[in-house]
Amino acid sequence: MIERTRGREGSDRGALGKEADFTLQQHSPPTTHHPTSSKRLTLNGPRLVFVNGDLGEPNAAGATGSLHLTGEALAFHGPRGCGAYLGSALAGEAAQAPSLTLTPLARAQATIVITAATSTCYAAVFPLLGKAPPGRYQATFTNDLGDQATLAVPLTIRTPSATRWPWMPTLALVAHDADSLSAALATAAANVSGAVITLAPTSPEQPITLSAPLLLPNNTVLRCDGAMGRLAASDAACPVLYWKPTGSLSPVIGLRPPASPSLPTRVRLENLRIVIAGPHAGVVSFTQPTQDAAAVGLQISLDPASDTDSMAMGALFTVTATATGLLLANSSGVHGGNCSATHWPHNTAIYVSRAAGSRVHNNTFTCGCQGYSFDSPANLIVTNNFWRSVGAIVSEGSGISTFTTGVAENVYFAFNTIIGNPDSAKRFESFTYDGPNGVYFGNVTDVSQDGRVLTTGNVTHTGGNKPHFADGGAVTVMAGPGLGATARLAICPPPLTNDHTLCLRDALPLTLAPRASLLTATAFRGQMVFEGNSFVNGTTFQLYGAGLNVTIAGNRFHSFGNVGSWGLFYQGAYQPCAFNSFLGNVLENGGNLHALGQAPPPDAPPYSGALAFAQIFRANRLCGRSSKVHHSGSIDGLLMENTLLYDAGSVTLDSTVFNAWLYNTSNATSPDICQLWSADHRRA
Amino acid sequence: MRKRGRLSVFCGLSLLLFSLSVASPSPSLMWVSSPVLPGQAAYIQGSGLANLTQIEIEYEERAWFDSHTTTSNNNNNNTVKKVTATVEHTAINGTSCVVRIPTDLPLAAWTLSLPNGYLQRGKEWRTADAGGR
Repeated sequence: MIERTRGREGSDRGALGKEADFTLQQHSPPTTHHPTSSKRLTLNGPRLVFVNGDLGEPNAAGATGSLHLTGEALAFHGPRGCGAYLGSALAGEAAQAPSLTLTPLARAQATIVITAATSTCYAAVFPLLGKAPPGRYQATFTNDLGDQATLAVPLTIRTPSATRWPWMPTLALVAHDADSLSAALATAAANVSGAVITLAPTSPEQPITLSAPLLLPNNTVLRCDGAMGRLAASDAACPVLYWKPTGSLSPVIGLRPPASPSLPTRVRLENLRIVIAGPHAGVVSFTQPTQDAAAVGLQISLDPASDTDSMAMGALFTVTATATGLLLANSSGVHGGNCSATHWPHNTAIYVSRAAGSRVHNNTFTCGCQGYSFDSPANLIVTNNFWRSVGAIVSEGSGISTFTTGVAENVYFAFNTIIGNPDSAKRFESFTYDGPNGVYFGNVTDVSQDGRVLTTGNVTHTGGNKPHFADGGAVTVMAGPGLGATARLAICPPPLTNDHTLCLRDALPLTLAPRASLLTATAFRGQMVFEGNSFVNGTTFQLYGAGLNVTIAGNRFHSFGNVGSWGLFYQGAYQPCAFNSFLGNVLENGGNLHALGQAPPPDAPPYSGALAFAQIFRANRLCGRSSKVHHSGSIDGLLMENTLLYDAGSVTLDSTVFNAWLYNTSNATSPDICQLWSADHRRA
Repeated sequence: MRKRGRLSVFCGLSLLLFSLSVASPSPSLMWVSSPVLPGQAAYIQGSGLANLTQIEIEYEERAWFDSHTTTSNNNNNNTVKKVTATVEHTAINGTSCVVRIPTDLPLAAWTLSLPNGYLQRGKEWRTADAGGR
């Protein structure tokens, strides 16, 4: 049956939200950071990359309304400050915690100063605590050294209101069983203003057995009672959604086709227990564009009739269309997976394509197949998740790729734990970039006066399997005047849309010389931070081609393989790595820390230059004979300083590495040097 | 002998032209590895840096700092100081160099710049370099 518990919107605010300020998807547009040429450079100044709201998720104390800022040089003091990653605990406390000054743009309001609740070298969280009314603000950040930077675009603070999704849909419905749930969904579909469907318990407790996929209409919340996103395992207030499919593979929970295909769908799943007893195409599967969608507090478990059934169970979360403001949090689940057929990048426990301004936080995944896959993201925060590989046929196989759009940028991937499975028959990467291919490799023949239009040889509009001739791709000067300079591709306006022109958002920061400057145009994978993660029993962590401006800081790699950058050979273009930093990482009982410029294959266009530029290694620690450093292949520009070893393997620099400077590699007397960061490892 | 002489002149001119085109564009700073602590080495990517021996570092010496006021860093008591750091190595092609940050430099945001004299000598370059591997 359907029970209407609330007739008018906003008449009962207590059911869904608190009278507290929320922030929702207030990320800045993707910033375009690339090296800028000048006679002056700033060192140690804070650099801001992007900021997300909390997407409505409360923190551990139940408070909502926080801003999540990512950047660089945000805090120097503290256990995760820059000082710690640079190998020197700074004496004493900082004079001030990092702070954010919000200056209202439209109204004559007082300026608001908010102190960071937590901060590291690369991220800071600011609780608003009701101080900032809705509106637009100029945001200026001050780090703990007193240096400032201002966000390039105004911040918009949003709070819940009677008309604002997802807290105040107009219709409240209750479902006890499959029939009433189906009827509730039909009612919700007819109510364009939205509906909240609450699964109510029965006595004695009965599962809600599904006979068809749950297709959620726009503006629908499907939930159980319980603290938001904090469902206890024994919470009897929530009936189990039980799925035993018999027909063709389909997702368990999906989206109803929208009335207008151009509008994104908004749904929220909250505090649900789901048991899967047969093959499916994904538990939660969003295959059309979403905005502000959320899956919070889900407990997904398997009850397969056979191993065959288990193998045919799809991903826990599959998001294959543009997802803006997506929140996946506080959930747990087991992924069966059919790794004998298709796998990477789709058959991972979580596959999210084109997520923008989104957050994946505090989830626990047990992976029968592969782990995680984020394709073409922007402004994505992935924090405090746990992946454990258990697949016997295939395990691991995770990373960030550019298959869909050719651009993966502004990602903060931090404090996650990733555990591999050495017993698996086939193992892929614990983390990798992927989505190779490029569109041009050759000289520039002319440069426009403003430097933003480059005349070239023939440009391939489809580099391999996907077009990368897209807004935001990367251009790098590989040889000749301008060597090492990078810029971002732009879509050429008519009449420049032809096969011998590359257009840029901004001019390359160094002067080019026609017929002497050698260019490569590739996908862009960069502007990312990997901080404080634990990789255990894994295979490799690799920036596989076209990794630009990436920081890997304060991570632990235990019983691991290669850890490093990998400038990649020709696939439509050579794919260099440049401006990457490996700071304060621990490699214990295995691991090869490296920069690599892979040699061109014999059938590639001739090229004898470097495939990795400006690679920085500082204050890394290696323990155990199988842990080593090996920089190899064609590299131009490498700095390694303050490397600390305990009973470790060799430090090797191949003769093909040029302009490399190594300082202060020393042997420690205690294995305790590799206990750094071990307290942050999440065990489950 | 005459042929060898012409060849030598030709090779010399070619090398000079190649070197000028590759190694000596106008001096410019493009990217620096950040963050860095005092006493550590900073890596700089740029162009025309082959002859660089020093980098100038400017920083603000703050009389006080209070992030809870809107006037932080805007008070008149702050003074800008300038020190010189040693370039320990330069790439022979002038595209990168390594600078040693002075140990006694206060930890802060530092602004790196090329010395004026070096900017004026921007077309100079050298064939041998102690830096590199």
